[in-house]
Amino acid sequence: MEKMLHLEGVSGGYRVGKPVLKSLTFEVNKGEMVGLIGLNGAGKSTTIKHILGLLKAQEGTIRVDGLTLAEDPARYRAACTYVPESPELYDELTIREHLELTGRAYGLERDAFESRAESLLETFRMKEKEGAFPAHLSKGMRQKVMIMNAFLVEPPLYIIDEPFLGLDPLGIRSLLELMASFKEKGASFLISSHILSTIEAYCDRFVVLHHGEQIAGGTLEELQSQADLPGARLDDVFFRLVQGGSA
Amino acid sequence: METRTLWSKRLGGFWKEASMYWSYVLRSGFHSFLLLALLAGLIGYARWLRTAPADFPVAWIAVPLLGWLIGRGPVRTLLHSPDRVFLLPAEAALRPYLDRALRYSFAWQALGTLAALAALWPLYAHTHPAAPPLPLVAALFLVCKWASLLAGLQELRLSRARDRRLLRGLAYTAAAAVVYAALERQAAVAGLIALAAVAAGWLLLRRMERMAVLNWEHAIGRERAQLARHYTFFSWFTDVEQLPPPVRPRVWLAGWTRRIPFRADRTYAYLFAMTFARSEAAGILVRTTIVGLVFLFLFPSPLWQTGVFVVVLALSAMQYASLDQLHRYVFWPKLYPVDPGLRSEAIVRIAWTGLLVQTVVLAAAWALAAGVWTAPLAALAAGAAFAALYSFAYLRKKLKQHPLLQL
Repeated sequence: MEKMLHLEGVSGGYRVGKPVLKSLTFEVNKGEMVGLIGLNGAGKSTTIKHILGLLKAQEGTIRVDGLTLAEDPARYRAACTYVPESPELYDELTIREHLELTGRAYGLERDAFESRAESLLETFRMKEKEGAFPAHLSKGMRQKVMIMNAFLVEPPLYIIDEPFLGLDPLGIRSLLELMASFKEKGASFLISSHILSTIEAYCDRFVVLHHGEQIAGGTLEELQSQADLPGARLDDVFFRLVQGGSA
Repeated sequence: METRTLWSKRLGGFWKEASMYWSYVLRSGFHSFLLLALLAGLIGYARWLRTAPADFPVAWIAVPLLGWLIGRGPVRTLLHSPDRVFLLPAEAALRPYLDRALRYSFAWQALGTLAALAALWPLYAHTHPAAPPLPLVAALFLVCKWASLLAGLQELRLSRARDRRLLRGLAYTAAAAVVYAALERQAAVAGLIALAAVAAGWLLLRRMERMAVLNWEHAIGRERAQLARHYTFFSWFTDVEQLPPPVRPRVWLAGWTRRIPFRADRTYAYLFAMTFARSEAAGILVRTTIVGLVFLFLFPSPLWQTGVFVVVLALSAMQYASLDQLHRYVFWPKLYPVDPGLRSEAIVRIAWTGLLVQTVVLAAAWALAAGVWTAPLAALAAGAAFAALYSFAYLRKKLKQHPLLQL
């Protein structure tokens, strides 16, 4: 299968010589949704920062669509979009202007931008708020803005950190439907989430991190086998795996 | 909760932080520039006074300036966002805290009022030989200032923006009327106006919807805006991490960004132009230009007009210097598939365009005011040259050295 994201032996962190991540190796194939799960402080966000190029790996390589960041920064960046855990918006731009900025940055044609923006604003019921500034939005609404900006670009790879945080039930459903629909078209997703019951239903495979190390990986069946809990829910499998890691 | 102690702690913390930033200001030599400008201004003022006409319309300057200084009533509360969670339960005990906030605000604003009065007094005395005693006028203005701040404190309790505007409008109108009456030697009238304004304000407040102690959201928002202005000044001299930007929609100014082509290589131009148009710096720029335009018409002397032109452009250039502070800790630009070098270029272009537009506007106003073209045309050329040098030489070099802009 074509690898959209590939981490090979990645070690890294915030201080040289003191890696938080230890030799991570996993991939996200084309058209696949992979769940990145772990306890608080396991290294999920740090892994994502390395993939995005916000942190430099001390060892190993990270390839997005076959390229490292150093080989072709523009193509690397254009190949993925990111939804952070906490919404980060420009205070000075309205919702519409955020979308326009993203459209410009990723080189969309004006017509494509207009039609996609309209569609996303309708999907997430934000049409009435498109002229509003972030200060006037609730946290959930700001999260929707982040999501809309990511899906506006329609990249081959989406990296989403806690996508459901702050969203109302309709927003969660809209997001899941959107993810499913783009996955059908061949898009790949790396999702970090604590809502295991939801991602269990949607993800093809999982990567389990604990203290910066990958302690398990694979489909749900494979994780069940690794945890020696055949047929168990992902929650139970996860608890068994991390408790085994702590013991 | 002992809120008097809380106020003292917060004020101490505020000044401790401010003194750190002031040290950067002093290191930049700004105080030397200010001192020189002040000395030059005083000498020029004294010289001009000798030849100023006896019927110079001093009220045209004094009433708006002093009226604004007296009529404005912002109370520095030093409130923070978490206060709406942690301080709200102790709301009933906030009176001592707010009293201290009121006295602190009065001290600084009274100083500003007296400084403006002292600056205008020689001109006023020159045009009004039988001027009333300065201490009497000063005392009247300070009483009005206190009343204005009391109104400011009440404003922080009002629920509706419309009511706050009404009350503030009353304060400004009354202040302007009092200043005019006092300067026209109508002390009794000035006093009556002040009393009538206080009575009107009290009657209005009785009918307005007020929160028990504070409209917390509004009060915190006001404090945030005041803090932003305070940090914006320091951002001219150094990085200021805490700068919480007040955002004004400014549709009329942000609208021209629609002309920026919808292309990836104009991403930063769009972002910075839009951000700048809505920032406090742009507000300062616009106000400075308007004041400059007014002064160009008020002072028809070529020397004054040249001075106004130079000062306005110099002050404006300082605003553009803060552009490189925008979004420097935001990670999004690092993720865009856009050449990072375009970020600095966008800032340079905005400064160049802005200064050039201002130069044209000021030169046109000068030509209209003076009725001649020679000096304004020369100023236009000089201003354009300054804009080019500032943007393409100084600012571009400064941005190249800025580590956070090297993505």
